[in-house]
Amino acid sequence: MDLSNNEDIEQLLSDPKFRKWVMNPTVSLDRYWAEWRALYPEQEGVFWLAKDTILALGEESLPLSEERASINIQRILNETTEREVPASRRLYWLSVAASVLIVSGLFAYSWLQSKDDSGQNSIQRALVKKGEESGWITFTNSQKSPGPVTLPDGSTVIVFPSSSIRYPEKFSDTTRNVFLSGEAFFEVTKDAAHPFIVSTTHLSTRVLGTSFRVRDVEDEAPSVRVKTGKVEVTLTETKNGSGSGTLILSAHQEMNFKENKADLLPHIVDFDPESATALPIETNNYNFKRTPLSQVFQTLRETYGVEIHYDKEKLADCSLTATLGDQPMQEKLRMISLGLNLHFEINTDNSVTITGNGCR
Amino acid sequence: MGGKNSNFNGLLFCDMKLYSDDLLLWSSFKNGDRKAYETLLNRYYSALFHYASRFTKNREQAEDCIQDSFVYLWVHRATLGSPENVKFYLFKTIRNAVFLDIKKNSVPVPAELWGDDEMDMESQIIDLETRDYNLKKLRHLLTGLPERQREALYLKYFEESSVDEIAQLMGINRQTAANFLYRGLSYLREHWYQLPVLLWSFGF
Repeated sequence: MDLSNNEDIEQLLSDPKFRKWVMNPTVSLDRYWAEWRALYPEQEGVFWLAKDTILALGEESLPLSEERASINIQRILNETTEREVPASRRLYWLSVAASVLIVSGLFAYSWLQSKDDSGQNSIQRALVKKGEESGWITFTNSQKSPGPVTLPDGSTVIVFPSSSIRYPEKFSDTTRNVFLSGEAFFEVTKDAAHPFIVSTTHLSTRVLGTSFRVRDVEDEAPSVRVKTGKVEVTLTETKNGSGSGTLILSAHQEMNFKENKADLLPHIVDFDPESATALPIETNNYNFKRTPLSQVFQTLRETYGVEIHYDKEKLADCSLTATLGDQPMQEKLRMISLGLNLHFEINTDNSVTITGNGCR
Repeated sequence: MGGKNSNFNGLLFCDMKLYSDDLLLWSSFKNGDRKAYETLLNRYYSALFHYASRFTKNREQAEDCIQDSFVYLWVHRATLGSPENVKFYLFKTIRNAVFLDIKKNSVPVPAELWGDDEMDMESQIIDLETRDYNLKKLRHLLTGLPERQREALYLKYFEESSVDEIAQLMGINRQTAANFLYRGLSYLREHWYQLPVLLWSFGF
């Protein structure tokens, strides 16, 4: 072989189709390059050298997970918005301690009116403390309709109006802790090694990967409602300690308290999906069968309250057959995108942009 | 984005990386459009991180440099020029930032920071790869090349930069850049065939 001439390997290395095959092989590309090798058997050696050159060059960089990249991007956006962002933005990153205090102050007059209870004080303290700490994010929904938030592990939280969720930029090695004021619906990414714990004033709800709704708002009895999987609810704060304890809820069950506040014992009832308080997301199983993509997006829009931007004409021929179940929103988008060769981005205002070449 | 077939010598972008609206986004961003700024960030963050981490194995340092650069760009957006090639401009900005930071801080980097902590696309592909031996061999060969030659190869064949862009990015003249590429490839080829040769075509 002539070593003084690099033309053959150059050609391969510079061929976008080759690079594409190395990085993201598809069946048709596999076939293409198998035929190529059959056609030029004398280039077999150069072929594999070229492939490994691209792989090895890429390996010299540090790996970066999609999650980490998006957290870093958020941080940059945060850095640049704090100075200039209009007050109407929905996303409040690390609100100043004062505003956090106001929020927790509101919720301090809650359900049992036990202002002096130590449980509330500790939550209040925690909020103040976390507000000073870097690395925590507070999302407050000041809109009139529920809105989605994607957590660092990919879980989705549909946050209700006047409710807020606080979570770390990066979850700890042992548990995934989030703090909720108000009401939210959760779709938790399955990860048995890292329990997901939602703490509210009165409750601590612990799960491994499931979907459920937590409500703990001012002057009302808290409740937890499970769509799929199993969750463990612990009452963290009750009057005189009575009624404290842990109970397990299964799918389609709801824990609530009797209207009479004197009754401190929670009870479990079967959740009626026809009930007026049911959210679309609590009853939808996301079964699609040759469903036009526009309709799929409409479903996501309705259930997550998320705005989806896409080119209607270009994607007019796309349809989806899939069961997306209780996967978090990001995972659903990923599965749809994978299947139809689309690309999605979740923007800072929580809207989603979907791009692709169509399905003709 | 089909129809972009082989184009061996000129400015070349991979199908997936050709963004015709870069310049439009850039001018919107210069006018203070958050959405444009965010789109550029989302589009190039990963590529910039991969590039930056060639120069520092300290993950935080690479991330900080990118963050500082982007904050700088936002703050000074009104006075920024209008590059012909946005991606290239960003690469150059990040490269300068990393080099400056390394010079300023000269952080010693412990070997264990050579990220094994996360799985990325490449390593997943490699995991699936049955011809692992050849790749190891090449990895070993690459370490025998001067860093600047490796950088040139990376820019050319991983980021599809042109020789001119490589020269400008690395602050060398065109001929030197072309030589880096040529010598790098020749070296890999030559040594590739000197090392024990495995059967090429198994596992496919």
